Amino acid sequence: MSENDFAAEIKSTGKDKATIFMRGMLHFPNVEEVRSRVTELATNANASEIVLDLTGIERFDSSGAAMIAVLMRDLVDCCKSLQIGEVSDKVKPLLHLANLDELLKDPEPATWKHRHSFEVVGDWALERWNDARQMLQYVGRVVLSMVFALGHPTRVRWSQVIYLIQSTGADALPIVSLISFLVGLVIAFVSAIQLKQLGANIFIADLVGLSVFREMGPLMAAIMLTARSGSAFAAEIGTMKISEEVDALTVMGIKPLDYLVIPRLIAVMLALPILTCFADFFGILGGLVVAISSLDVTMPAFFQEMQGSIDSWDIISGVMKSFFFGILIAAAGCYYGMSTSGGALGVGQSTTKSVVAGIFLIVIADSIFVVLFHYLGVG
Amino acid sequence: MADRKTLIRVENLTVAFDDNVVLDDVSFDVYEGEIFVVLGGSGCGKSTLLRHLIGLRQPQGGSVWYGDVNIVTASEREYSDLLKRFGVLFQSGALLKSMTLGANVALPLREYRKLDRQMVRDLVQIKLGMVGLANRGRLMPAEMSGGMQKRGGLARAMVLDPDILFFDEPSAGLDPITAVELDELMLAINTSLNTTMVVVTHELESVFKIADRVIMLDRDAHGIIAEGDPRELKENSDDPRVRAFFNRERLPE
Repeated sequence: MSENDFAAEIKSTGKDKATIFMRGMLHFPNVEEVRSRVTELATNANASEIVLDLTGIERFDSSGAAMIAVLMRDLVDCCKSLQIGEVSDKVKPLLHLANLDELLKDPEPATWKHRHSFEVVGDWALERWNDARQMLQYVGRVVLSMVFALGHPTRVRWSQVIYLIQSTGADALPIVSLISFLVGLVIAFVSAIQLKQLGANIFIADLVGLSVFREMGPLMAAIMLTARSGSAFAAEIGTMKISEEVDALTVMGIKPLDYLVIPRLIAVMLALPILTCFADFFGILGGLVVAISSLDVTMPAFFQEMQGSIDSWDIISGVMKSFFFGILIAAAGCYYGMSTSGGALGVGQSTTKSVVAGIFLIVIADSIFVVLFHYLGVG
Repeated sequence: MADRKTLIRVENLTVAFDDNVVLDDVSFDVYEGEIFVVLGGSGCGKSTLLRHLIGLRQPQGGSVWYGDVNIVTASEREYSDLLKRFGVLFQSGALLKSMTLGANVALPLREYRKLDRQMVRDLVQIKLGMVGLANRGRLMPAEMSGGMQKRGGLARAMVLDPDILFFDEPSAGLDPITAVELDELMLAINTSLNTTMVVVTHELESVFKIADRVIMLDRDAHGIIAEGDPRELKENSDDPRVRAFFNRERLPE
């Protein structure tokens, strides 16, 4: 007998009553075909009470039981009733286990309820308010831990800090250098066309120098570090959180902030300014390549021009900004890691949030620095 | 047992992690409709054996036959056909955390065949009802206890009414009452659906309750040191390691 063999016939077995005799297979592979055949027989029958005779069923599985439940509901809709009559021994145990009476009696209650838009907005606002409070508490705790760490430098896990400087700084050097070189190249290339028209080729040095030292160098290094290390911090600490490793640290009397967050904060704080110096160097190099190749500017002329337009504050301000960017990147990554809940899904969400928040905070901080430097007369 | 149909035949299975041999030349049969238990202490290779039975790892040698298909050398198509006959309950339940319990249970149904939505919903309800989680389909795994997650995993494992159900430490992490309930559920499924079950465990109470036949693995022997009815092995085994295990005693050094 093949796995789709099935036959059904209907006989009138009383006044307003008919029995459908089913034979063969009623299981997962042919359940839809059986359903349409039986539905057709039942709806065309001149009886309102239909009985299913399952004595001829050779193979029966849970999808067969589900099909009977669906049939019962469908036939109620056309004012007919369906009952199970005689069953074979092959069907009986599963039908008992499937407990169709219970299934038909208790449809799963819907948990969705209508919510007023005020309620939705209110809930959203409250959640954001709680987020803000939690973040503020976290910042407060981090500052306290940092002050404590500065007062007790021997308590900081320096071996971990050095390892983290390597993984967040040294290991990121090739990609940060490459991206910065390309950004310098692009800036120079786009401006080269305009400068050439004006015959102001030499000003390429001022343009590239200012934009790279002040903005692009620190920003590109920070964005790369957010994507590379901020996300890694969130994923790493988040996984530790959901596998109860953070709780284990707490009950051992070790503050998770001191153990996990402070080393990362110090490492990124130190690594990012160094990375920024490299980003500056490679950005300028990118500009220089375009200046020499497309604008006929010589290397000595390029640097001489740059020296005239850039002062040391431009370089220092960029590196100084990157120090603060480092704090923001590590703090955001660790914060979202520490607030992870709910398994693998939660880790994914935390990682995404850490990157979005990291980049957002960097851009906000950069804007504040620009305005601040301008009003202090140093920008 | 000679008259019973062999469902799984393991021949000379050898498994090693680098130079560390875990299973060396292991052979045994699993018969249709039985509850077959793989016993042994920690680190003896029980879970490793299970992963090889379901084809999640390639062994260093030997074969695992399902009828005339050797899962070790099976083509992708043959393996995919075999998987439709398997249901596996992993130690943690392994529910996908990103979807509800109901969606988890419905996942294999949607993967293998396009069924009517109402029928899928009813089928999911039937399976959830069987494991005592009726009307809990909307819960997310994170909202469920460990025992509930395990039962949810079982509902998903058996949603396609598989021929063979594999269990990796089904009682691990469960309280005694929930563990007994799970044992009873396994027995009910075995008797009513004639599902063959391969269970990896070290819970002796559970073994005596559910097992038709056991094999016992030993870490030092890298293979099977006893095979048969657990009650008989407990009483009559000549091997001191087997008696010690069943009587929860430490072997003298």
